[in-house]
Amino acid sequence: MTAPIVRVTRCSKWYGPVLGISDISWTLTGGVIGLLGPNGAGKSTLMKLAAGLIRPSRGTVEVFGQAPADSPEARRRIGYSPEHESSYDDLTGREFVRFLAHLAGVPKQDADGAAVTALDAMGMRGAMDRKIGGYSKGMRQRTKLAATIAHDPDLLILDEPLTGVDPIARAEIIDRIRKIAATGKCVIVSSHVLYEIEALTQTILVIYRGQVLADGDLFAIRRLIDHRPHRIRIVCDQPRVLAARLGAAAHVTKVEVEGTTIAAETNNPDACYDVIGEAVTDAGVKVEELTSPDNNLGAVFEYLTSDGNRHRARITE
Amino acid sequence: MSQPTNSRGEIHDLGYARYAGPRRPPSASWQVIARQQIAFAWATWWRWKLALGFAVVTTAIGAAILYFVPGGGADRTIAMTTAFYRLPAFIVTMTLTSTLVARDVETGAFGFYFSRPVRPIDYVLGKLVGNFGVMASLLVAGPLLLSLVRMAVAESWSATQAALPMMGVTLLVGVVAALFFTAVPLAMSALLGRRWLALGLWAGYYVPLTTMLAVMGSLRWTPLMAADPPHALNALAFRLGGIKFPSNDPHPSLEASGIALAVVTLAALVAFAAMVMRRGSSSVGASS
Repeated sequence: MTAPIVRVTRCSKWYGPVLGISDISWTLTGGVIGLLGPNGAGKSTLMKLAAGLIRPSRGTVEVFGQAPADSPEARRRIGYSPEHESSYDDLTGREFVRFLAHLAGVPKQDADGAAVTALDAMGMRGAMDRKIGGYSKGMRQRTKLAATIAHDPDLLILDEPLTGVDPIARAEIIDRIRKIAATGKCVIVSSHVLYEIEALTQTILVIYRGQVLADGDLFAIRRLIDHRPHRIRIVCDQPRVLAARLGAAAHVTKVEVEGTTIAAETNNPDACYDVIGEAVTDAGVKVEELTSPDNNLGAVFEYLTSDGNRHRARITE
Repeated sequence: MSQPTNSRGEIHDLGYARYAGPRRPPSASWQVIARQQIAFAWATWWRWKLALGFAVVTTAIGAAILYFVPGGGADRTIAMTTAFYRLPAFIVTMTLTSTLVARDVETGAFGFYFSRPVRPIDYVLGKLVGNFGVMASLLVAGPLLLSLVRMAVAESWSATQAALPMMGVTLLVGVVAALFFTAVPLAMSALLGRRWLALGLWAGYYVPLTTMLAVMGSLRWTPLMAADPPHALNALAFRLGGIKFPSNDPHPSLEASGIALAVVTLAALVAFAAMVMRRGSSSVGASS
């Protein structure tokens, strides 16, 4: 079994009377994991705990087998990008990244090269010799990300890394993060924008009010929410024929037809897809479009965090 | 649980060359911070260079006096000139030292420091050493240079030897002054965590408060004058050098001056370290 990169065991964190996270246990073995949750859910607290910036009030946090808050060695393998802007405005982007790379353990003679390479990777080469004070929000974000990767950490902790970044740069950064993860690096990334997480990973950790609501593969989590019917939307040339077949199936709880579009709800999506397949082969129904609105991250997130549906889902590999 | 790492042998094009060179030991982090402090101070004309210009002019004038007016008053000239280096030192505290830690608190830079292999003690040491270096360039280098000039222009070998103790005195007083001008503003900066407040507190302490204490001390109780750093440092320079004060005004004793400076500087060092430990462990930034 792969040794965990991050292991959080029965961890709680209070800020005075305010609860950050409560009794969270969680293990991360690799890849990209998306941290989801509304503001104040505890995402940043969990990230700071993993980065060694704060200590748990109760429980333990281990990164690479060591408590990050006590281990400079463990922190050397971490690249942390905080949510809030934090930079020295009177330094140039190059000076800033060089300083942080040097601080993270890159020797002085190599720090400039590492900084330039990282800035180049984030599309900042052209502006790297300008003062950070004159940067746009997106440029600051990219500079911060360059500082996060300059020392080639094994674990990237990115708190809202795409905030304020323009769409083209966003796509580039997402691509870069995916490539970094593909080399065996581990990435923890949080975002309020669900499609950003969806573009990065199918593995999520949903936090709500300081507790883990769901952890694991997005589709597996969706499958666990069985008591809520899955919605399937079909556009075809013979909606009445297909709707009749679907209506006859026991697992289909609702069928609505509007023009050429069928909206069905089922407790067993796989069986439902079988019925559609049979209609295509037996009755010659031509399906133009088949979508499942519930299988996106937004639907799962909305369901998990909505009042009255509070429960935990945990996927084990 | 999350996705397993990629166990297949694939070469991925990252689009950039990952750093794969050697690593510096984490124990040297304070040196990185100290060097960055010096580079930061040097980056603009008004943080350090302006004060350095004042110090150079002071040294040139002092050296000219020593050269053109040689004789028995040389030690007194050096002791008196040390007071002139405190003006540029004070300028640097206002443009740099008193706002440094507060700036890190305000910008959330603690997050950058302490998520890397930096311990609070590295931060404290780095800031202290870097800023001490800046202060020493004003308060130690200038007076020491004057002492060397004094020895160089001495009429005889015995006069040169007689000038040696004064070199030790200028060195000691310079180091004590540099420590004071480094530790106290840094401590205030760390305590308040807001640039303008820290600047105000330091200026308020150094200019009106301690001056008032010096006036009260001169009227009521001379040892109280040692609470005023300029008076205490003057007393150290003159009394350690065995030099007669230029006026008959009251001056604090050597003991009172030494104790006052030591207490304030040590208290500042402890407060600075304690605040950094506290801020470092409570971290910064987002609420969630």
